[in-house]
Amino acid sequence: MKTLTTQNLKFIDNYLKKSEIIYDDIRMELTDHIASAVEEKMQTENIDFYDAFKSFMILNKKELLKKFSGSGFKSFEPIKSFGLFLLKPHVILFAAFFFFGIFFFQLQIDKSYFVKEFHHYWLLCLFMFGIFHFSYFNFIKKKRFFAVEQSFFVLSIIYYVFIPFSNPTHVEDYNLIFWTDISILFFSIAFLLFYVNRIKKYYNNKHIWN
Amino acid sequence: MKNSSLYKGSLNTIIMKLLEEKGRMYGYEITQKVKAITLGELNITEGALYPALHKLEAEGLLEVEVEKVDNRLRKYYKLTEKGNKETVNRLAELEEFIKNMQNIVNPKLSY
Repeated sequence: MKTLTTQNLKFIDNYLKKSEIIYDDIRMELTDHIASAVEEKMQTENIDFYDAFKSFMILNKKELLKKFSGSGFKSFEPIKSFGLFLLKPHVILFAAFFFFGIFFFQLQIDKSYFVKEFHHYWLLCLFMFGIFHFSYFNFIKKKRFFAVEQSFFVLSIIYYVFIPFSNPTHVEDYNLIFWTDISILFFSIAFLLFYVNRIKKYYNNKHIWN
Repeated sequence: MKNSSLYKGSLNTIIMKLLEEKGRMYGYEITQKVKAITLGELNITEGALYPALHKLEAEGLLEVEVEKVDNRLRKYYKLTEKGNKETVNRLAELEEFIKNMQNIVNPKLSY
């Protein structure tokens, strides 16, 4: 069986990069897929790498780029995964301790002050988290992982579901706003754990991470 | 994928059945195996296969092993314990479906 050279593989990877397949993990898998198909073509049709590559891409380019390039690759998978993550025993245990603790904490604080200040701190944390993620993966790691970035979809869902009930200028029931803010806080912490969990999956696999 | 609506619903079960038999497989290998079994009748496209594999992985039905093969990285998929149990359920469901469809399409055979 003819095998591709490192140069050939680099060519495929660059081609995918130029075709806006921006995630390293997706590109790694597609490079292997295309390379396997090209090797088979080279073997069975007795042609060189460039002819085999061209012949494969003529037939498959549309399907590949439509599904995987840039913003065309959408998935609701993170929502389902986050839902399953929330049902894990250690997350349920954490939720129980969290809400139990908050129940006693709320008896001793001024809720109106809390709801007025919560948003500023929450948005600041969100901003800092975004800066950290963007800087680390774009400038230090110089790699982007599909499953990690897709998980931000969960964060936007948390934002849009809870924010309408959490604005002190529109809702006057401080008790409702307080518990909405506490729910935002809980889901944000749960999201952070979910995010770390996803990164750990890549980190544990040195081939992908390095 | 040929006759998309009929086959699409069974894609996950097809993948899981192949992995149950082979232990672990990579994407291209799955497409070629399906092509060979169906004598070229069923062609799974990359656009259908990889999102299905990623979804099954996210659901905890598949796990992944990455290895360096022929100068490149290859992602192998295999069933988890949960995936093995789910495969049995899904195959039973599929068989039941085929049986019912056969009864509808060709009632004489069911007597």
